[in-house]
Amino acid sequence: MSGIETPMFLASEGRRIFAVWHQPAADAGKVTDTAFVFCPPFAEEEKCCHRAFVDMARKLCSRGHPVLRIQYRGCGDSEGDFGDFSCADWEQDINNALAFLRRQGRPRLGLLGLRLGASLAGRVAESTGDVQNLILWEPIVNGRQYMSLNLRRKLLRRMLTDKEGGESPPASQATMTDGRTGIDFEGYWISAEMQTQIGEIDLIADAKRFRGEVLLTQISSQSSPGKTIRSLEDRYASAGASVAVEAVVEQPIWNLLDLFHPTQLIDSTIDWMLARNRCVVER
Amino acid sequence: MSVQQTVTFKSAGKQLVGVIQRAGAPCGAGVVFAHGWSGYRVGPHGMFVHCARRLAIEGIPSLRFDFRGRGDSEGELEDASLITMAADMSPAVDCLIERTGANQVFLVGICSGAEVAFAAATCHSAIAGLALWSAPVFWADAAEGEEINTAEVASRKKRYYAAEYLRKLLRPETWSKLFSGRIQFGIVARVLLARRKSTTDIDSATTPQEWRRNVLREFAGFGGKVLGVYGAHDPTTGQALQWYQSLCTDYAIPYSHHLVQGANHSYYSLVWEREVMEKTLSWLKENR
Repeated sequence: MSGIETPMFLASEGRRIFAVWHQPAADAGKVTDTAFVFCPPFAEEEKCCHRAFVDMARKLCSRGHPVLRIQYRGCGDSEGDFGDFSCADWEQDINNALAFLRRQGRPRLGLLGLRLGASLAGRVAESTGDVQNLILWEPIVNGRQYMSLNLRRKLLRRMLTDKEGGESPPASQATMTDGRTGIDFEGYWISAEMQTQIGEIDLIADAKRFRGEVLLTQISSQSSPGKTIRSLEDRYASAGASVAVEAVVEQPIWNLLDLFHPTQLIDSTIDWMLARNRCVVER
Repeated sequence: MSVQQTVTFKSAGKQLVGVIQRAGAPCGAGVVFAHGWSGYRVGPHGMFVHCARRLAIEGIPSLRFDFRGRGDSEGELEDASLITMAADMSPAVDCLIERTGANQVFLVGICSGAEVAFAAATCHSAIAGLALWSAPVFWADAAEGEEINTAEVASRKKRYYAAEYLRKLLRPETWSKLFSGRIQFGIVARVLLARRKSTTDIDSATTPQEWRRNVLREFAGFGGKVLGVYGAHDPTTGQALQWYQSLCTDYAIPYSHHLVQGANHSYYSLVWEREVMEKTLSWLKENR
């Protein structure tokens, strides 16, 4: 393990969110000027990629970048119930994590997000003026499509496996005892408000003002970037950002049952970071 | 409202990360959760977190932690095995006891974590019971029935204790705790009197198969109770349920089980999750 890792709880809107603060060790060289907040993906996707985030944070940290990994309110060890929060709440958690980095005296800030976490990171970067680096791993560009695909995939899995073990019950709209409506999505209560807010995500339309450095990473079996990631690239470029696109042939780390170390994904991101931040390693 | 606190502790020189869930009015019993092979301390769809919070309301504190090479803990992915996971359990139980004062510990594990809990049942004298959620068959060949040499087991226990306490005495932190008054003598005395042993130590077994055989032998001496919880639609349920049931019957270990109707292996529904938690909670309350 390189650097110092401190698990902690941070205050966020009256709740405590779990975070791990990775600080570079003295022998990691001169600490570079960009500190990152990592933005995890949605629901069970977070559990699947948790270790990949840890690996990425450790690698970045070994190159001199402090990293703060957070869990949104209602997720993981953070306080609150999953169903009580929405995308807007989680964006606020990211903002509060950035505020923590500012309090640590970090003048340059970066966000790294995966899937829905990338979408939230992109939106937060639009609204704050001091995020310089934005790393979006397989961002959810269209939230409506994302929700719809998730529900269809769940239904399909249920149909395929019903007789030999079954899947969770159909994700139909339900009402909790307190009157709230939502979906039991594989053990996560997705409130009607959350469904609406995810449905409203349109990253291409949202990317209007960010002028920092962006890395868009497509994670798939394809070695060339697809249409969606290219459209997002164009949008960021026209907003004045400096954009790079990577197509990494890697397994879907957010959807794997077994553990997997995404070497290519991590290495290509580190290479981009080092080129951008002119990291000087002084031993 | 119960409070969560982050903790770190060492196992085999690696820093493990966990979260202690404190209980308002502790009852003496505590729970250590054991996550599955590819998961981390929150469990599938966060059900360990939900269960820990529910237990805290009933006065039962708990520890959820990441095994080495998993979650936020130190170590490499490929270095972890069921053997190392089981070896991490004893320091985890120590951590729970030190932080909460619990004097009776129940292990709750899911899938491979349930196998780990089973393997670690006798690693610490404070362990009073196991709640095994979707535990796979630990060792198919064991159905053949091995003769358990209890005298040999007892003798091995004694040898282990001598080495274990000598090792602890040589640690600087033991002396530092002693001089700063942080050693809880009541707990030390209880542990000394009841002792511990080595089934979960990687050094005590040369192969995974031998390790499993050792675990089975040691389990014969387990003095606690076992609850098995299974999803009725999990394809592995029938065989696994029968295996644990018959093993516990052979060893005269009290065993009960609960089937969650319609549920799959990881209880991917709020309704199933609630049923698992409530059943486990009522079993804990009956047996603490």
